[in-house]
Amino acid sequence: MSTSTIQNPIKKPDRKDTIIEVKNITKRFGDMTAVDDLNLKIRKGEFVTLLGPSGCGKTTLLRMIAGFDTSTEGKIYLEGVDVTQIPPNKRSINTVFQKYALFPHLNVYNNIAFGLKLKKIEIDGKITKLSREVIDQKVNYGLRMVGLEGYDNRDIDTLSGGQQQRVAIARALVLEPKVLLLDEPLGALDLKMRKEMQIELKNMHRNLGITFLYVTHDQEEALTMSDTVVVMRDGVIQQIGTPKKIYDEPKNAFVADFIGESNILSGEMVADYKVRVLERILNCSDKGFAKEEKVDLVIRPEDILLENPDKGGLVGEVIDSIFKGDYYEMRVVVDDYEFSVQSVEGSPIGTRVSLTIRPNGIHIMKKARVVNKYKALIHDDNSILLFDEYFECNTTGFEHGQIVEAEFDFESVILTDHEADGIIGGNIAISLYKGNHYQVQVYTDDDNDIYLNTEDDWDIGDRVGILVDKNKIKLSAVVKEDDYIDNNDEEL
Amino acid sequence: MTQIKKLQFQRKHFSYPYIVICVVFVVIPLFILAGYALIDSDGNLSLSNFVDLLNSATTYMVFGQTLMLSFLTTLICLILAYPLALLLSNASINRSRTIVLLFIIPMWINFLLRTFALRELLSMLGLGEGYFSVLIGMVYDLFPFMLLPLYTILSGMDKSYKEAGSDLGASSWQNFVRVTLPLSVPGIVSGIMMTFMPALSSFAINDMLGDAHLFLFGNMVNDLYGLNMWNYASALAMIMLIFVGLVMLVGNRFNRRNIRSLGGAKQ
Repeated sequence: MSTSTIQNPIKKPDRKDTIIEVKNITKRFGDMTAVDDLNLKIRKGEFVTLLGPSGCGKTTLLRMIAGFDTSTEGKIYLEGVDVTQIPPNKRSINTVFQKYALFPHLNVYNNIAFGLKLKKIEIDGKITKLSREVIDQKVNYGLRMVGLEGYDNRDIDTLSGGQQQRVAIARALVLEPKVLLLDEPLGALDLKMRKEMQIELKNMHRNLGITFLYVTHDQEEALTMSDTVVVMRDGVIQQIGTPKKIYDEPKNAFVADFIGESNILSGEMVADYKVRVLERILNCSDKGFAKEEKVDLVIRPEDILLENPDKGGLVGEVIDSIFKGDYYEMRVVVDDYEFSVQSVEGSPIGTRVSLTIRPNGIHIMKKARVVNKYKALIHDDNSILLFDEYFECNTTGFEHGQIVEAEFDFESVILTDHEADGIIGGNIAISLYKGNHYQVQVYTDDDNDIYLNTEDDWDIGDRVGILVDKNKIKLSAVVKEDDYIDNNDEEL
Repeated sequence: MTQIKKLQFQRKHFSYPYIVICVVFVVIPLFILAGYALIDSDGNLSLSNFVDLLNSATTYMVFGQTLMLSFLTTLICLILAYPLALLLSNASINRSRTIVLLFIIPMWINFLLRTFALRELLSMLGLGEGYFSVLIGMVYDLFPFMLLPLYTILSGMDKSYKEAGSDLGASSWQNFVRVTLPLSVPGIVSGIMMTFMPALSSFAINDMLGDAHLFLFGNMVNDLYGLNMWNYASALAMIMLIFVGLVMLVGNRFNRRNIRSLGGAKQ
């Protein structure tokens, strides 16, 4: 758990400061796992952003914290109290909805007063409702806070998107929640409005001291606004950290690709602080890997310096150069890898240059997977049962019905445009450009990931058919047989 | 150039057959009706039919009975249909939509046959012909017209409104009273109109299920035509037409305001 001390520079982070704790939360919709055994702690007063592509489980997590969905497994604590089964109206948490969900039958004043009119408080041991004057005062304060004084009597449908958004924020904030949840609140606004609202939200957070939990798929928004960013994918947290840390030290290729532009290459560690990439040895700042371990390298475009080609090293040719106002964006081909480079000084197209990268500009990450490996069942002499379908391969040496481990590398998987042409179907989950090829991750219908290398760029979310070269499937015996089903989708 | 222009077929040409149908079957009959209503027994143009009818106590009695029965029918339909529509709009309860279908199926059966069957059923239950049977018959007949608009609006309601309500502290009941009910007003209004209008002009159910005590507006028009008193019958029909028109006008105005505000926030 990474923390920030901007809000409370004196206080040291300790357990008491945790306002929300999510413990081993899993949420399944039928066969689909939206959130997978997730743990998260949010500190009081923090601005935390859940960031990830659509379908990564961030909104589901937010909805469980709000109380709209109940978890399949796991618990949620608000200030140490288990609120997992408590309905939303009993939680001191309020939400700003993606499409605002303002009540169309009420005017601006009554929308903001909606929660206040329901609120019960204790005065001298008696539970009473808020008085008219108090409600009036709070609504006006809310209107002032979002800059909508004088809009009290306006109908909701006469407001612009940005104004509706402000009403939605005021409606939630006048209740003084312990945590404010924001579900892609700026998604429907145009760019200029979005930038303005980002700053205003950030200011509100600073002034009110309420914990904000923000959901977005926009990495720039996440980096500008948050104290802590939680990057999610497939219902699992990929990395938690400050925006700077997430940007500078992405934990894996997915985070690196999702946060900002980056060059992602495959390489091998030859020794501590030395990595082999594109058949050259480069100095890096990482250690502790096994010798010859396959790794992913992330190099940010702005960390590359262009120098005289006589220097040697990564020498290539500029094939593209675009002036972007305060920097040049260039593409440089070294061997067959295409580097993206950003620099204040541009080199014309056709120039030969040497790429210099400082050791701390190279981020080394463990490869998520180097080979596809799944449990399978021997069906007959030349086929196995894998992902509930029959794949052809040589099964000599194994008995029918035996459970084995089937292994095939990234090069042996072929994607087809039409699902029917493949043995099984799947959806493209990730397509990472690796310079001379794309590393694609396909998500099968029964929850498995298959990795492959291909020359084509596939669109994320596309439905494809999957074939596996029968000569490349290697089988090996499995010692334990009891967990055939359980381990089927284990990430290896 | 002019040749080509003549041959061009425009979208508005599609409306011509409908305009012809409207004129022949709606506009002309209305004029004929008005004509009969404005001609007295001597064949002169006058308002005497209206004057006679509006001076007769029977007219007001019949009118009152009709309004009362229509009002009761509509009210009972609303009370019965709203909870059902609410239940059916919950996707987890109404997964197969069979229940909705069950309530719609009677609409596919011939109206007369349906009412005769109901009469047999009611007499088996010991309910003879009379006011109560007519009321049951009316509710039975018009129930789907109330259910459908309510079901449509409730099942189409964005569930984020309800979530927002409970997020802001509303219990299920408070959420219903403060969010769901006001947002379903357009459905309630069109349900009321679709039930109340046909109830006003119905007479067949009373003929089949009622006794001699209940005499409705529709019966009166029907009987007058049967007695060849076309001028009186037409004047009576005109009075009903104007009344229905006024009710529609009020209902529509009310509804339009609600629909506009609903559409605005859904974007």
